[in-house]
Amino acid sequence: MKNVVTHRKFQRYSALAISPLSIWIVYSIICMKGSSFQETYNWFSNPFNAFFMAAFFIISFLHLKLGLQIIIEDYVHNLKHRSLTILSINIACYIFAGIAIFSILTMLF
Amino acid sequence: MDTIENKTNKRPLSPHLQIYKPQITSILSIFHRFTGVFLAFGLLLSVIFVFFTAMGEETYKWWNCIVNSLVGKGLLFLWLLAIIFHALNGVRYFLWDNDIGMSIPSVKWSGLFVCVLTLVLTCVLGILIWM
Amino acid sequence: MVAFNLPKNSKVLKGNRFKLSRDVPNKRALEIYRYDPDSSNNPRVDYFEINMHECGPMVLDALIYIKSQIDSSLTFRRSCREGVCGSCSMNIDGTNTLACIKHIKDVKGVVKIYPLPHMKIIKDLVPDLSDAYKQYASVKPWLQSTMPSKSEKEQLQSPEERKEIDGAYECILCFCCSASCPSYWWNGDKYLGPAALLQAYRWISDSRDESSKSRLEFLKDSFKLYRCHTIMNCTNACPKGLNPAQAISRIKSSIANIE
Ligand code: SF4
Ligand code: SF4
Ligand code: FES
Repeated sequence: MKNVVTHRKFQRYSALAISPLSIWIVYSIICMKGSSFQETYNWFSNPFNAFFMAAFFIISFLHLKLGLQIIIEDYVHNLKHRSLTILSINIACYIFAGIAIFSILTMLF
Repeated sequence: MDTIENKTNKRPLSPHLQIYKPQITSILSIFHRFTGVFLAFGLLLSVIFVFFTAMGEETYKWWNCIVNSLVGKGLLFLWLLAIIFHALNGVRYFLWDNDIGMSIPSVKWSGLFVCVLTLVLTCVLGILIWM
Repeated sequence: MVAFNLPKNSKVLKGNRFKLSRDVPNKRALEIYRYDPDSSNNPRVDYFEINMHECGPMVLDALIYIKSQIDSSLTFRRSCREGVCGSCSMNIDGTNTLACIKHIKDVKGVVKIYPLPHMKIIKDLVPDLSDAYKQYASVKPWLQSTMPSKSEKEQLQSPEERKEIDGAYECILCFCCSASCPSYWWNGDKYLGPAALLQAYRWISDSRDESSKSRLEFLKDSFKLYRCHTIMNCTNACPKGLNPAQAISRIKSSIANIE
């Protein structure tokens, strides 16, 4: 993201969106402790759970990408290395978010 | 030759991290960063978990072994600590953005409050998960 | 990569020791950073013991005492000796402050004195502040207005409008804040730092100034302004009790509002 002001806005909004989602996730972890494979799988195939899980992953990866960009800009001074690191972080984020969505969809259908 | 340029280039850098007294302000800030990076790795692990569950019972069990090991439990506990701290401390940033709590007494007070609340919440939730 | 360690030529060595005899009752010890540009040696830390019966109460008094009684080569900046000129800023007991208003008795144990952190050192406690001054100049710290040429009268400000710059105009440009800011340490060549930004805020919030918009546009930069991550070390350090972090945060809100 080039524009700092938009960058900041997205970072704050994504933080706002993640908070309730993470409370829900921690709650789910507590509820699902000790559950079997089938129970876990069934939990994921519930459309409600699948939707919020997917939302959690997408928004978290956005927040992660924005946050790491700031850290890299702070500490990596060589411009070539900097853009290369940020680019690889972005690519990794897309790949992992993709894997997450793919897995959630497989369990849903 | 001791030209002016030569002298200017030779100038040493004064000590910084080495001598600055730790301030609660900068410590919480670096901890926010640190927990953020830690949570990033946590997010990758949870993607792997979802993926393994989707791949079937075999991979799921394999994964479950790791999670139930001592290392797995330790990491999950640290993850809990990190996410609670990052979220609570994030609230301070929201307040600051709205020009609330920016005096030094409130900054110190809110920082301490976040630390204590993090520890309490982590212990309570840890007990709920593992007891 | 940013260097968290000191470069080789900056590593601090052990220096000279100037001890008093055992039976001086009221003595204090100081450790002072020394660097002599005319030798090729690394910086060092000298150890001094002084008799407090012969010395005033402030850290600056101790420095002046050492310079006149023990080692006349000790070099530091000072002028007003009452906290209004901003010359004597340095790192005392681990935090940045003004030597002339820091009581020796407020420091426990050996009084450790270093120059402002992460600065190029000219000699002993004297850092090169030219970059910091250039950054200060870059925010155009003067009134920009077309009014005076049009009208014969002075420009009036209501008491409320005047209040807006309270807490900003009092800055004495000692740079204690900038030199305490980790972001300024790592990116001081591009980040303007809290001192310059507080002064930018001082003109942005002045009701008589007509260029707040272009001032904000100038600051709307990922490095000039947004390297501030609200760490708050600056506000913690300011010996005048000002709040640069709050000013920076307000600049950010103003920029978000004009977007
Ligand atoms: S609040 Fe901003 S300017 Fe002040 S110490 Fe922190 S990063 Fe530096
Ligand atoms: S804001 Fe305070 S610490 Fe910073 S330069 Fe001004 S007086 Fe010094
Ligand atoms: S000598 Fe003027 S501020 Fe200390």
